[in-house]
Amino acid sequence: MNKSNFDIIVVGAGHAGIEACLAPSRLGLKTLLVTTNLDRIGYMSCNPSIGGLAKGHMVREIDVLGGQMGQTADQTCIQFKRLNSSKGPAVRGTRTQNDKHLYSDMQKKIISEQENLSVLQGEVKKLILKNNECVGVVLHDGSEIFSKKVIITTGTFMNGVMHVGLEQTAGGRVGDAASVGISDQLASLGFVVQRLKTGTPARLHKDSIDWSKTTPQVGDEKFYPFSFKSDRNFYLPQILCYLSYTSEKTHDIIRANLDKSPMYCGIIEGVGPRYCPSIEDKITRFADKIAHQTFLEPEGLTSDLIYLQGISTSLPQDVQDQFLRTIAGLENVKVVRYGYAVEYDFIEPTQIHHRLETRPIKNLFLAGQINGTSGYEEAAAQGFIAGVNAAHSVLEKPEFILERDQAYAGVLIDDLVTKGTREPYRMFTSRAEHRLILREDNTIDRLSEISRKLGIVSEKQLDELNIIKEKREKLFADLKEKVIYPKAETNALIVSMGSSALLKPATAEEFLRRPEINFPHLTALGFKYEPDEVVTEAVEIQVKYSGYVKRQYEVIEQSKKMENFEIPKSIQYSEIKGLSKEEVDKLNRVIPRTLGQAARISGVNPSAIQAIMVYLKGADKRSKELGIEKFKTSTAAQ
Amino acid sequence: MLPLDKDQQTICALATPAGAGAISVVRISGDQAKDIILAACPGLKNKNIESHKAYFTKLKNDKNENIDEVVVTYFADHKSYTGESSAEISCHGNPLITEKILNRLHQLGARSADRGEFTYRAFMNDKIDLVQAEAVLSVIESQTENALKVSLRQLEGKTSKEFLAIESEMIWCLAHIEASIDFSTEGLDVVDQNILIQKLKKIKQDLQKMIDSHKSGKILKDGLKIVFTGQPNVGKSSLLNQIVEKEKAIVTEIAGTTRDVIESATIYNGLKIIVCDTAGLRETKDVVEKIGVEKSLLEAASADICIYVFDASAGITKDDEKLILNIPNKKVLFVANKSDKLAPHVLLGSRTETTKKLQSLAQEKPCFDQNNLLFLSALDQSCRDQLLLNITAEFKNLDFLNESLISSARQFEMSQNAELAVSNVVLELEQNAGSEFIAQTLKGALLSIQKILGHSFDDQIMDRVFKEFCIGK
Repeated sequence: MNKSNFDIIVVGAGHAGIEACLAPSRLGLKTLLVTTNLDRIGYMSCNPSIGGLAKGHMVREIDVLGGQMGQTADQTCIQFKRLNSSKGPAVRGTRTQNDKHLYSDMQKKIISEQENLSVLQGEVKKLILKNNECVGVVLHDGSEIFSKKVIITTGTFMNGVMHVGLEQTAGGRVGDAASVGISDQLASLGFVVQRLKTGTPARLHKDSIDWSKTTPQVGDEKFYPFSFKSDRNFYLPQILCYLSYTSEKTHDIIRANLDKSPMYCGIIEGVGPRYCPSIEDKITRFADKIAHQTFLEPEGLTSDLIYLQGISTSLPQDVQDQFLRTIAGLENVKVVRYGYAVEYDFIEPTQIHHRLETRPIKNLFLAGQINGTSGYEEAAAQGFIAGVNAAHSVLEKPEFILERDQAYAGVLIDDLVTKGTREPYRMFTSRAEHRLILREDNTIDRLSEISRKLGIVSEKQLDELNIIKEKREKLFADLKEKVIYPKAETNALIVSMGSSALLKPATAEEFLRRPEINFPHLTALGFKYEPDEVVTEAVEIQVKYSGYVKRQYEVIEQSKKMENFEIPKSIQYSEIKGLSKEEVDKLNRVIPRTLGQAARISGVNPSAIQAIMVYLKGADKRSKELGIEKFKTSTAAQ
Repeated sequence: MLPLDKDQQTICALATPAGAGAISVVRISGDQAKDIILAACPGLKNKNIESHKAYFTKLKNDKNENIDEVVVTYFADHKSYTGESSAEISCHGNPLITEKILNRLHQLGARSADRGEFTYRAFMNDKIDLVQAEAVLSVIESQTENALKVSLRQLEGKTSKEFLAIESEMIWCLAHIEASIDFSTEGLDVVDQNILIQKLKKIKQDLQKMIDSHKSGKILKDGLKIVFTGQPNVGKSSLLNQIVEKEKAIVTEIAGTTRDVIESATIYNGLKIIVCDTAGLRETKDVVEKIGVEKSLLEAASADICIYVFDASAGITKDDEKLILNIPNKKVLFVANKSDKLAPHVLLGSRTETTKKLQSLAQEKPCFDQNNLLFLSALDQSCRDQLLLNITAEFKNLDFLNESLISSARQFEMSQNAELAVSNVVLELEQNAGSEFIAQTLKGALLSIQKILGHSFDDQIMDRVFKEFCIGK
């Protein structure tokens, strides 16, 4: 390997790193992936599953754009679920349980077979900088590798400390050393570096569990793969997961040992995620809850290990042994690996641009947990965007930014770089104000044209997507054209469908808007269509959602003004009256492109936004814009 | 040189009414306020002036000659009304002195404040919210005691508090709806649909209360407008003069004397009452009178209450009926004037007959109430009380101190939007619509309330979710 001549170096081979190195190498750039452990490429350090609400959306989004996660998740899926299937399509989410070893193996294989991509085992200790530009990395052995761009995706490894009870060991994950050097260097360069905390539950031996005391959980029979390239049949045999509960006894034991929890005696300073509290947290904050659910999830088809979802803990091993045995089915459980908490450095993400390049250091990109996120999907989405932007930067192409109304990946990055985060950031559907149009079913409609411009997905595959898109458009047009007349026999048929009779002619599209009507009903009324679910489902959703989507736009329209209100780069926040020093600092750090972004920065108050708007609009229009022209009629001295 | 941005400049203005008085107060606010004061009052230069303390000193011009002996009260940054460094200069109440002081302050770098600019700055510096900012204006503009009470209540933040309570309840509902979407696999105790509906109905009620209060709020602030209308020469102008207790309108025996709209005001039981006299309504060829008649109808349309005056001895004639039916839909008080001319038994008969006529008119115009009928005489001084008592009856029981009244059109409009959206949410819940739709509608309602308060959307909902629910990945 010629160590000195790469376009892009990616540091870290987790879920962010994989996408970050695949995207540029697929675009033809010479890319190097550096990882401390070749056996842990694409490793699922925590739960053995991909997707979930809002997360599944992101997997689909990067899949259409040319990401890898969806395909690998599909092919290693051992239980499939479409979450919220009883709710509306916008908030449905795909989730797969995965064989974690097969997942990791497949990612490793993809990477080793990828053209233009080299892999190197080693630890990056330092970045090589020249005039505030990153030009390469220094390895543990002192060797230097040069490149045009560097993407760091080191996850929880930067100054990682693992806690079990009051004991601490340096490391980013059990069995892996922490990486020391990069975050200290970044801090010395003036980056704000902070601590976060996350945790993982114990892994149990499957043969030590009394399964009869648990409730089996079946997956869905119908598979809706993440990737448009995947087969619509399962690749692997499907398994069961199991449900069990903690008891009062569990809670008593934990309560009695809280003084041995590093979270509770002040050893851990990092902020943990509120949506993923440890079991210690749960019983303390929700003291009146008598039982907490836990899912027992096999880590693979051949694995002996069971992941105990929802019971992450950092209590000492003997206490874990004690309390685990009070959970139904775990009376004689054998723990293979104990739960632990890990504390790590992250870079305050308001210090990076939307393209994920850092503001202070050119050619340096950050993606994944290093930016304060949590979750494989959040990491992959950032990795992909960082990879594309690093590549575009080499190729001197414009930056690649997804907007908040185009993709969850766009919401994710906009939130991070404008608001920052105080806890590990996880995506939720409620974070997306455009939720009703950011659906899994319309991912290809939203992103296939953008994908064509990106050029990672092959033309041939995009043409296939286009066919689906065109079929959807045609079906929609047909629905608008077909008129159903309120003839007696037609209405009799409609009533027999449990709907109400037509009073005047209606198009099939209007008729399909009725909640109780779907495509098979239209067949009975003589409407002809090709019953391909990939086509019909999306069209039906589009038809049924139209009224609400309109209402959503009305609400958004009110804030859109702010979104389109550009803030000139030359703005001097310190000159604007009415901004606190903290607000000025935050605005200077984030450098929002629009007033809308400025409004989302946490800690910047609405009155500050108004002050900026007033400042930008000039003094004359001020009173009118604020709707306080009435002040003019008051006495001056008030 | 003054900073380019107006908001950065230091402002000053006379805070007390212009003219002579015992003392006058000049206010100054802005970054340079302290420096300017120290420059104008050399006696303070070597003193370390502290916030909220008054200093007796001499204010001097650029030639070091005394302008006046003054008391300067200094307010430090963040501790003042505007949130900026500011001061109040109490001087002798002579317009020549205040002018000299203001000139001196201008010379030292302050500019004259625009109208309302001190309050504008208080809002910009987050010292008050929008509702309070509006209240400041009301406090200044209040012309009656009750209006003042309502405004002060808003300024204290009591109205804001009620909107805040509504906002908080909305966020609670939204948090529960969002949690049921984003954490559906967490085994949460999802809130019962009926509890949500109950809560939302209560929110709707509270909003309705705010909306309803606007009418009273507006009347308290702007006054109650009553407009006299009727045929010529029935005594409308005499009644107006009685109400405002002065000879405002010219009264003659000649029909059609009043041609333009005459407006005057009085205060009764703490309410400001604006009284308008209009040209009597009749077919006329006189160009001036014709315009007057048209104006009368327009004026009637803008009234809170119309008073239709007719001659008690003539009763409601066919012409009257035509005119009455032309009055815009609103509360109408029917006044039979000149009833002193009728003998008691005739009066009784006339009353019965008029009531009957009104009853039949009410069938065509349901806004009429035959009980809104008064027999009186404009020559009798007690007619003022009779009229005003009747007009203000519905506001008698308003508890000005304990009820929040919204008086701004902006708050009214936003409350209406919110109420409509909440009604839709309830409907959607009852029809079992998807949670994501319900959330969408509720967000619209919340947005309106947050606009009233000048709040932003931000992460309040998620914060609430995490507070309420035990959620684990």
